[in-house]
Amino acid sequence: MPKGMQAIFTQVASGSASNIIFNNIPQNYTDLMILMSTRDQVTGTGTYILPVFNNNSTAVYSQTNVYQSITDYGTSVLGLRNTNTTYFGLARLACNSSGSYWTSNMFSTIKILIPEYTTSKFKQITFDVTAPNMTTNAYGISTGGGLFKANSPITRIDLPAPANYVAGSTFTLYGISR
Amino acid sequence: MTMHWIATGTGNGSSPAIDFQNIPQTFSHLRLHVYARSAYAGTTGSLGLYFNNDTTSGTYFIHNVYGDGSTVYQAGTVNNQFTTYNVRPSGSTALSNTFGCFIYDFLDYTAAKNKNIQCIGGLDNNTTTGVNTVGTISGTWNSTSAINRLTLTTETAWASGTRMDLYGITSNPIATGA
Repeated sequence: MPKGMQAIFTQVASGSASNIIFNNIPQNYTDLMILMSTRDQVTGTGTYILPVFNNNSTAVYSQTNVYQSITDYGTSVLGLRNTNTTYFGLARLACNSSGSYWTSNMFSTIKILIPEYTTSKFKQITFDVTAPNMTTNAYGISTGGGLFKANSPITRIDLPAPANYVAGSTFTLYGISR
Repeated sequence: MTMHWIATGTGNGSSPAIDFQNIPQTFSHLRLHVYARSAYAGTTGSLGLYFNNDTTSGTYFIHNVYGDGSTVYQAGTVNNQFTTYNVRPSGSTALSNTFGCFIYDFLDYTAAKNKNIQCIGGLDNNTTTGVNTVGTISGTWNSTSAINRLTLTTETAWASGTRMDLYGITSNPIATGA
């Protein structure tokens, strides 16, 4: 296996699915990285993705964020802390909207690093979200870290959204080896 | 873009430095993934970095935005190394099995210009106390020398289980076979 970063699998949304699943994840890399370009069809000022590992929806997730509010156009930064939740939360993302919020063709960019995903340690993640826009009504930035307080290797990752992903949203899972 | 593994450094519980020497000068950019826990007797430990064995006072300029889940802070400082400041990996009294997780990018590391550092990451410890800090850290090394050595430091020692992976990133078009 080449040492470095390799794409394991890419999925492109067709517009009819609200969850993207990477199943049977190979166990022969050191780390995983997910790169996403997303927008979903929920109507509102912003949306979110709630990643879950190994189909585990028990209260073993926690995360800490620094983010900019989606509607104040850069006038404040905020903190968020969730402990013992049943998922991670990636928020302030682009969606369809009936008002003047998200302009067409705007997708959010999301990066998640998952080190040591095959070990028996708890799984730490770090993530970076940017949701640019072409209006002053909505955009989002979020950086944070999280903990999946479980010892089992990660073999499956679910990326559910509250509504179907817009066609053309992309999700690529990379394996990183050394 | 292709990311190639260059080298890995690990913590052994006794040395406070992980050193990458003789870094190849053949890539466009460098990326460093840090998965770290300090043996320092506290809930968190420091994470410092310097280039080419240069620890001259006033050489590294640092600014960041970070938060603990409730309050967001900004900070700036000048130091003899690039530190992640208050965004720190876990220390010896943190929840066991938890590590800080950081992604560093060093663009144009061989070019004759000052070297910028971009870092995101932090630590989530699944608690409601101030152990959890995440953020974005930016900095500059006031030198136009090519980077040929990277040293990562903490107080006391890097704990066992700490892992740091250095990658080289090419920017050649696919057509060249890079």
